[in-house]
Amino acid sequence: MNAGDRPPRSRMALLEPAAAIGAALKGRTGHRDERGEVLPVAILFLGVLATVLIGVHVALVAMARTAVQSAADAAVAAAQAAGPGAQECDGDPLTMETARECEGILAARIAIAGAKSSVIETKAPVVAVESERGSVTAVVFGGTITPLLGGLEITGQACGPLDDVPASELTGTAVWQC
Amino acid sequence: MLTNGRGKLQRGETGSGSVIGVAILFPALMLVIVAIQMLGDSARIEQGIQAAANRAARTASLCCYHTGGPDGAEGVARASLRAAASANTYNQVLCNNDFAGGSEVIFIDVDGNHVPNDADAGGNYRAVPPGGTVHVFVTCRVPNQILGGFGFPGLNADRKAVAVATVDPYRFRSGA
Repeated sequence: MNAGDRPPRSRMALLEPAAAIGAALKGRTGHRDERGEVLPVAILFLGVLATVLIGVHVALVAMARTAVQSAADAAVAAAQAAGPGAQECDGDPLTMETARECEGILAARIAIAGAKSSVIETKAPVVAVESERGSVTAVVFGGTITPLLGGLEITGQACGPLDDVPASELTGTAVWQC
Repeated sequence: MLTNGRGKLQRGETGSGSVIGVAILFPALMLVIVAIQMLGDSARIEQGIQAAANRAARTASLCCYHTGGPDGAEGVARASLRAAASANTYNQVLCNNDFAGGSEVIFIDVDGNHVPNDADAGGNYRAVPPGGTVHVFVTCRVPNQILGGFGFPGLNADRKAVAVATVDPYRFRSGA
């Protein structure tokens, strides 16, 4: 067969689908050419993986921050309601804490323990009472583990006036500052 | 490598489907991250707004003898909300509107009647209702830039919170 006997190229193109159908009917399907797809697939895989990790990281941090801040708010509310007397709560009998500090620390620890699926306590909460200014400040330390940064410490802080502050001072700004 | 009919080299299109997949999926994945970030920030902001309202209601229920006036409970509640929105506050409530000025402080007595915060005909402010409740309604128009760091024009970012506290009938209140 010489070159002149070949059908024109357009006729070849017309025959290709028919040849493919025929091959399929005979059970002889050809392999798809996958050359050049490795790099895009790898980029796609890494992108999806990074997205999932970032999403999990963001969600975990948000949950932990919410839990820690809730614990700080609970600590302030408990310290506000507690009385001004002395109490022992840190295990050291040589030092006495105030009842406000003890109640605030206890409330923060309970709140953190209640949210243990989101955050764990990394350091003991700190409750500071400023009697002169009439305010109480609570700082709560929590931690979580994220797939991006590993262990991450998160701090929550809240403050508020003591319950026995006169109304004339509550309308100012000093008692509300942490 | 493929050649066209004239023997000139041409680029194959193998792998182009995956490239298109990458081009389509990456913006979608970025949107997912932004959405998660926005949800987290929104939850934190709403928590801050609710905490500020709770603190204002609690303080208003405990502090004062009168509902309104210079040293009244309404003024104290607004001072609490102003402090929550002030710049040097940890977990600051950041709003585009007047967070404290746009709030409402309402007292309800034990019979369910509203106790006004303004003075009566004689110029005297009313006492907080013993055993009643104080309700604090706040609205915060959250700046769009806070929500994930991206500004979405037209996004409804108004957040409302309601806090309720009971007025202790046995508590001593100065200013009678």
